[in-house]
Amino acid sequence: MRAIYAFVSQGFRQQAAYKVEGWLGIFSSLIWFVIYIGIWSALLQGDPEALQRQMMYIIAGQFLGELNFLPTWEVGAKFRQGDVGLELIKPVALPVRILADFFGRSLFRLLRSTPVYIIIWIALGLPAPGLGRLGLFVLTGLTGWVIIATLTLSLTLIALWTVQFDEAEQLFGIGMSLFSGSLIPLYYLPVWVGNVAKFLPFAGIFFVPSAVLAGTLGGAALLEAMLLQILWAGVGLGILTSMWRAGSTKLVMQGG
Amino acid sequence: MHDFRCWWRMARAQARSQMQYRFNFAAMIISMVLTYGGQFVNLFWVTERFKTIGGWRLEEVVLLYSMAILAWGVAVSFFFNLQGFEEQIRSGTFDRALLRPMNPLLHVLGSQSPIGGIGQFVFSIAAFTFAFNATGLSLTPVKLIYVVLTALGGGLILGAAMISVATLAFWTTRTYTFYWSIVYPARQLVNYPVSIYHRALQLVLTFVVPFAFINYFPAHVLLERTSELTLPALAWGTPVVGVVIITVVYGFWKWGTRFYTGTGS
Repeated sequence: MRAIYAFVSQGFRQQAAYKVEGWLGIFSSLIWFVIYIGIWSALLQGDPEALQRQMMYIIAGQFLGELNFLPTWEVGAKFRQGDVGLELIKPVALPVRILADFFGRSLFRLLRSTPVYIIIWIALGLPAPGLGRLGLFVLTGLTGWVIIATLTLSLTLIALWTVQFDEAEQLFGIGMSLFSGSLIPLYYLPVWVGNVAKFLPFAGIFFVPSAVLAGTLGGAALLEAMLLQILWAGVGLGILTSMWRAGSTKLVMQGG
Repeated sequence: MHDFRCWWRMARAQARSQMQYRFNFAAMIISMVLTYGGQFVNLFWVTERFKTIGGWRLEEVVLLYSMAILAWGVAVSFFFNLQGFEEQIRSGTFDRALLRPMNPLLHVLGSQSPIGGIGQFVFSIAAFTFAFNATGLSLTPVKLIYVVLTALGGGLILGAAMISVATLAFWTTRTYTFYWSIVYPARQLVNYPVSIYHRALQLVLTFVVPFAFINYFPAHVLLERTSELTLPALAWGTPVVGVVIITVVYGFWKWGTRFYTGTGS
């Protein structure tokens, strides 16, 4: 556990060292806000209550975007260039170290961006969410992180067999853009699409926590969504563990 | 002219090199088409639910989107490797471009394959055909020529953005971050009608970072709606704006090269 904490802390400090990236990241978030606010203001102009909920949903989505930023391409490069050899002498398994590092980096990004999101929240005149809702947002957000982190890293590990297979991650990205609710909340999708999407892992990553914070998911539907999240997080952990166990015996060291 | 001949030889060699990996090339095209197709589906679902975005129907928004991707295909074909220019600065390999008897910028651009944007072309032509047929308007020869000129002009506008990012590397040694944090999200602004944004942002997208010329203004020509613009002449401005902005940004690049110091090794 101490080793994991050390890797989280290392990731946090590493991210803190890149100050230019930090400021540009905030600027980038602001551009995305402008896009989403422009689109949804145009779409929901006749319904101020729905627009207010959508603004909260957008802020939640942007926040989760910071949390769920996973630079798995760095891992793929380690396999291609042979740097993975150095990873094998470290005291914890590669996926655990990578995920701890990614989590540390995400924590720093969240800490850096939270004041900006709070200012935007206040500037838009949105009502303060209750502590219970905030707690559920954190809980569902973290479960969503486990889903996306384990599934995308599993896809990266395909490189243990094929050296390079970026296409799998691209397909996952397409699934995310269509079914995660990061662009369109599931309740605004065609009914049949929404009904299918809520059972897919993507929904647990963005839609569930965002809808919790926006106050558009509650009661039995929330309970069902959280159970599905836990199920997908378990599936993700299972796939990642199995792939690492099978793949680490196939590891080919590149370079010399 | 000599510089452009040298660039063409280098770019052709890069294209031949890329074509040695046919499976990768085909996979790249398919993945591009699928990625943009995913965004198309999102647009379809939004307009199915809400009918219009800021008064623009599905086919009109898809027309905007296809024009944005077409121009991006031009920019990807000729300027995309500038996003990785920081590696040449950090490793000092930009020295080679400065020492060789050709324009340094064209030397940098010549190190990429000019067929990299083919995935964007495949998608945008298909989306454009769908959108234009759905509008029920006719594609006259004048409109067709203007679409080509607009794609080139839009490609120059986006290319100017890429050159600006590369030039910043002379001071910051960063290009990836600037590209992914500024140019990439800024490009997405024009996937939707610019009229949905705040007036101040519309002015920025017209006069400061003229991305509205990539698709929003010229789409009014294709849709025969130029009279809806405050300044209808803007609808015909893309090729000129493209040439002007790339000339200005080239001046910025030339000035920036004076600050390149090499690595000393």
